[in-house]
Amino acid sequence: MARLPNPIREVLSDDVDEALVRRAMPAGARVRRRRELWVRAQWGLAAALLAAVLVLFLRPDDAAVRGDDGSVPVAIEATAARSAVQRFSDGSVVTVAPSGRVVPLAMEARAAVFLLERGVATFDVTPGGPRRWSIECGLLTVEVIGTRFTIDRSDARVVVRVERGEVLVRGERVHDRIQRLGAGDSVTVQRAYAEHVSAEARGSEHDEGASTRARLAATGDAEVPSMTSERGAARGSAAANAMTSGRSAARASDAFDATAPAKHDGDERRAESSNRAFDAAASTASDADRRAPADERPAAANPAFDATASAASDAHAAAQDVGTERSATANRALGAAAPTDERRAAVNRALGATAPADERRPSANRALGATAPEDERGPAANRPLGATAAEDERRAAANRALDATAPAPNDGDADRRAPEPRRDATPSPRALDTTNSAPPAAPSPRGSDATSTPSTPVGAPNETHDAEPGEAPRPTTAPLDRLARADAARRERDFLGAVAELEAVVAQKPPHPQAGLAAFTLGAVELDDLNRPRRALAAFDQAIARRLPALLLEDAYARRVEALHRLGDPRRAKAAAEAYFARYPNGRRTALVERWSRAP
Amino acid sequence: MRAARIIPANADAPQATGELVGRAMRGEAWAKEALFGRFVRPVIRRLTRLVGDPEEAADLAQDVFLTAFTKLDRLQNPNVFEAWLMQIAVRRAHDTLRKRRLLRLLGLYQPRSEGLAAFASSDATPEQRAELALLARVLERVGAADRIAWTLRYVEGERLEDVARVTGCSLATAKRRIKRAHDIVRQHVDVEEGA
Repeated sequence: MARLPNPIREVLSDDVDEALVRRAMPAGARVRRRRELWVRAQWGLAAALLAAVLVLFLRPDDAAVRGDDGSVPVAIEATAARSAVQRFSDGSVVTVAPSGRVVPLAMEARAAVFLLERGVATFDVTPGGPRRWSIECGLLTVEVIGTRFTIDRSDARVVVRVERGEVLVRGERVHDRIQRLGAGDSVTVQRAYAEHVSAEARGSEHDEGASTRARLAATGDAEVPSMTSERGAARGSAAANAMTSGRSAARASDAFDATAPAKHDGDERRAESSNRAFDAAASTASDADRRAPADERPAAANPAFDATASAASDAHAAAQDVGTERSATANRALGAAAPTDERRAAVNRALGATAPADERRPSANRALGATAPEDERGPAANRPLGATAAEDERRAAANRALDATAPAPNDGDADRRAPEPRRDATPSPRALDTTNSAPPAAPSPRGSDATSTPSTPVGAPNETHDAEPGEAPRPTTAPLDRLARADAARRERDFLGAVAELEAVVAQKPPHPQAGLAAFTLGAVELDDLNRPRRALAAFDQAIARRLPALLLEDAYARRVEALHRLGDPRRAKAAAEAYFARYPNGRRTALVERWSRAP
Repeated sequence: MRAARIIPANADAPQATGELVGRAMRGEAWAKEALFGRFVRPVIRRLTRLVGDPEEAADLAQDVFLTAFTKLDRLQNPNVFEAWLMQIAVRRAHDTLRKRRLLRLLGLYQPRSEGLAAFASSDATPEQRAELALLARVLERVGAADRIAWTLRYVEGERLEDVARVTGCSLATAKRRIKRAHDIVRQHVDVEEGA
């Protein structure tokens, strides 16, 4: 082994390559350093991205929302006199109105859960946050990421109103169990099985949305707001008027029939629409039955839903039969749903409770009766505007289903009772009375005096049903009572009696909110049942002057033409037709109006 | 691209190192160029022997001069500029060797030259060249501080005091480092003792 000298540099060269010297010059350092800086910048960028990803996915739990003082509030409770405001670390604000109380249940990085125990609370949730806010309200749950909305919880109902953004509302009693509410929307869920969605802020609703809202409205509250969309308004309000408070599938069918879009003119389309409406109504009732807890039904309008939904198809089949067998079949079909006296009273009370001022049922009846006269009017000549034979059949079956929801008097426990032939062997739709608990009054002769004893009205106010045993119910002069009695009179073919009641409502000062509907119904009765076109014309004019739903308003204009046509005044009929066409260029009654305006 | 102007090292330059440093401290660019030309070769040479890679030594020399000219105002005695420059160079070499050791542990470092064998003079015998190549491989297994101290002592022939001063440690520490490295080296390479 060769020994290296000490120092070893003795065997090393001292020469330095000039290239190395140039490489070491600071002048060239700028370029190289710039290159190094670029490499470092790339590494820095990658590190920053990595850090961002880590921060995004590994956010520690201490990022959970806190109160403005850094702690999680135990409860946000307002006194009876002052509201309470709680601000959170992410900028969200919860304002609890007086007497309200909100309890934070969980405050985590990804979720903030509150319980609105009572009262009114407004949640202004800062958008863009990583956590989902959930507010439990008993009947429903509101989920939101960033928005401002108010929840009003009481023992009877929960109301959610969205001012900004969107929320998801979940609950067993929410339609389809979930609804998305946008700005301006609101949802009301009644403990007694009711809900509705208003779309006041959505002026341009498409058909599906309007239909959905109509169905929602139909399941409960009658306070259907006016919609800025005419088509949506027509469909929504008509359906709501027809189906409120557990209205029958038949009336729902009529309502949906009446709400067929204007462009669906023609008999085939109308018949198809009728079919769909019938199915939808039955489905709605069925859904209502499925969603409602059984123990709550007596307190609500559910029996009516139950009966109409389950019996609609069976009754429709039974309608094909004849004689007493048909009645028996219908009774059997409806037996399970036929309410007892107690349940019937509960139904009526529920109707009174869920229909403020007891307005909806009579008004719905009138609306339907006016726009779609029932088959009890007999001849096809009295068929409603644009109705078809198929519709008549369906409507008749559905009406029987409705009527069957109220069994004969003293039927006691209908659930356990064996089916028995009806006392009235004549298979008339009227033979099956409605939810009235009193015996049906004897039919008044056609054209009897208007002051004849009125029959007990359908859905009469509580005082009638709550009368002491043995005490004769006293007819009242309240407009709603009159409307109910008018409905009953029409069913009994006591048209003059119905006219008297309706005229009294129309003439009431100050005008009753249902005066427009009463006038429209009056015109229909005068024209269809009493063949008094002049009086009908005056009634339709009054209906137009009063507030009417958009759908009925179109019918009122159309029926003015008919009244003038039957009055033998072609000049005025043509003028009225032009007024109709000007107002409804694509109206549903175009063909009929044209015919009435042309024919002598 | 403008050709770099190289000022040759000239011990007989009219200005002394102290004066050049003073002028460079006053911002005169030519003085910096003069200092660079005067000391770039010794710096490259030392760095080459310390890190064993001439190209890397050239890059380190550039950093050394940039650092020196940037921090020139911290130099209190212009006459010790060369020693101060060598201190900076040794520090840079130390950082490089530490980084290289880490890269070697990660499997990311491959030597680009034969180490000291590449700088063998024409007078060196083939056996000595072989020993230099072997020495280069052995030194790769020695710690950075120990390697620098041993190289300064056994390759450059620095005195122990100078080794301690340049490496910025005490004399005892310098001795300990040198001995620790030498115990490894002499297991493979025969180096004369007691220079």
